[in-house]
Amino acid sequence: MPKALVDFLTVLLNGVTLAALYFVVASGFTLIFGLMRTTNMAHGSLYMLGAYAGVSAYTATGNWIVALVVGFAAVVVVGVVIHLGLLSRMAGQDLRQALVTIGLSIIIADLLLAKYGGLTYQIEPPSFATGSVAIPFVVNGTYSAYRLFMIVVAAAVYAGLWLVLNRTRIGWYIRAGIDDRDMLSALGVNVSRVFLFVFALGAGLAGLSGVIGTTALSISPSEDGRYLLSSLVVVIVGGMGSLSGAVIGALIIGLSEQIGLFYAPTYSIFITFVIMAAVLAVRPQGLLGRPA
Amino acid sequence: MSWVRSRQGIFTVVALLILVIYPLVMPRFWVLSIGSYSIILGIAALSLVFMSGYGGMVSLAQAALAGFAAYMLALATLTPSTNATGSAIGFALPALVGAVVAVVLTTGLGALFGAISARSYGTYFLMLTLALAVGFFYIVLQNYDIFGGHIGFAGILGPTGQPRENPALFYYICLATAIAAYLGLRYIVRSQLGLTFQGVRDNPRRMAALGYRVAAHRIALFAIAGFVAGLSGVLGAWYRGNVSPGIVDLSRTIDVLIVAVIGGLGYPIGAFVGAVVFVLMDVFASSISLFGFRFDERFNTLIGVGFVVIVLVAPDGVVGLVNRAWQSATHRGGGRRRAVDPLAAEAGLLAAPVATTSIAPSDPAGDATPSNQ
Repeated sequence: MPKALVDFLTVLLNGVTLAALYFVVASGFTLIFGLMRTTNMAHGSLYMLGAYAGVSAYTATGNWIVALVVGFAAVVVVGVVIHLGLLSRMAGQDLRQALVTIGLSIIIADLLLAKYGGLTYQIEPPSFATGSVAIPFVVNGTYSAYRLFMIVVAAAVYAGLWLVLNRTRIGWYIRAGIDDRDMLSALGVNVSRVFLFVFALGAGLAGLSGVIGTTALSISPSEDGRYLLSSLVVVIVGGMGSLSGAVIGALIIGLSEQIGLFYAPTYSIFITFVIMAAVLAVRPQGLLGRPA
Repeated sequence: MSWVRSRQGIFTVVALLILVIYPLVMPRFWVLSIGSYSIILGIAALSLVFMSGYGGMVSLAQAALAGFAAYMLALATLTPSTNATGSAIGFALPALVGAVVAVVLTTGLGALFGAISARSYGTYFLMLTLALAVGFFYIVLQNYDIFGGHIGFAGILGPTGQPRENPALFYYICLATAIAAYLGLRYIVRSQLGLTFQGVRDNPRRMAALGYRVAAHRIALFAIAGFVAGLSGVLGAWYRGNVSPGIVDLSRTIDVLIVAVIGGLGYPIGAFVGAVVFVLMDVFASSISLFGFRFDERFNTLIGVGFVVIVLVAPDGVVGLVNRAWQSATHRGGGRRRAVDPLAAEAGLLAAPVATTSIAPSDPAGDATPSNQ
């Protein structure tokens, strides 16, 4: 196979595995927005919180699964506190909620900096996903097993969310709430409890992806901006509140970022933004977003 | 009510006198690091307050616009050089010519941002402008050909040289720019165009039905805000003498919003009040202690908590609080009271509704703001 083609296929695979991470991060963001119209500007900070909680758990136990569970659970708890303490008190005031979460993102980032300092941390991949896998069409003929595992995780998150949304009672409530919140409430469903569940789940997904991302890449202060940006762009391109839109958005952003990094390194972000502007010019609500 | 107007006039004259005398009696640190810097930050926040107050557009792109102006100024005025902090491009223009070029280009970038986001409203607009701002940060960080990568450029000189050589003169340049920007925006707001902006803010669909081009007006509003942010960016570059990605990172982006919210999102003068409060907190955070918790290095926690509290309890900021206190104090005068903020009041609008449309519950009539969801 010619080298240029091998390079290109490797870049594509890098793009898809990065997209898997971006999807898991953005899925929580889009889930929260879809039901509650809450723009959680602290999503990147919750990612970072999950990542650092995972680092602490991994340092203590050396077990990747424990780190993943701790990262998820810690951020679920923080999400519940944020929702009960602040956001539920201003339901329906979406701009005010966005401003409050911006304030929270500053506080969380600063407290994490105080506790963990400016160092860069990484988590070792679990034993079943260490080393590399032989793949004939990529550079050197091998590829990181963990990065492939991220695709499995993303698929599992997609399948899990799809099942929750389509096959469980709370999923019916969530979908009904997206369509008509007031009607759902009138039917006797405790909507605020559904909101709490969704916010906690969305926050937990940010924490989960923090551990997954820290294993593949690393975590250091100011990473929150990167994942907030990726979540924003993924849902802006894919359409707010749409799970399938998040998949498409993540693929577009992950691929364009990796292709850009390889072929035009200093302009890769620029390419991402040209795509975003082009999508918005044609569909302001995003590719799979619903029109007003 | 003429006595209110004259009292307001007296306030304005006294405030201006204090602002003019300030650099003559204060030490250099207070003139530059507090006075001038507050004004520069205030101009950036003013551009946001203008957008949110008169366009209903809460933008997070203002720091990026200001930073773009700083970068353009650096490229226009520096001589090409090959050392690490120099610019390989560089047009070696005089400082003032470079400033004009930078502000014009920033107005253009504002129009481009406007074109990208003109059909987005509310939090969707907020997210989109945040994405543009953070994207711009990563562009300047990654790009060494044009923007000098993570180092940026140093050695930018203003028309008066380095600010510390003549602090009072630099302060006056900042003050004059701020007053000009304030009066210029006030002129626009009171014009036919300004009323159209407010119509577009309050009910885009009705304005479209009346034959106004809603998107074009929102783009124009963004361009004007870009012009004002560009002024702040140019002054900021002269103030620091260098530009680097640090001036457009996420925390700088959010700082502008914090300043505007502290002052009051609906009050143009609040931009400057908020900037002074913010800068003073930044400088003196180390001497603040709360329940034994010292804020020496945790300034961001302090500012974050303060920001959340203001959003929770005083959505119209410090100026809104003062305004309400003032109105209840003068209540005995009877009759309808004028809003303290002349900009909003003379535009035929009381200040408070402007503030509430931008933060508090979005309009009950669902048709007013088309949503993108």
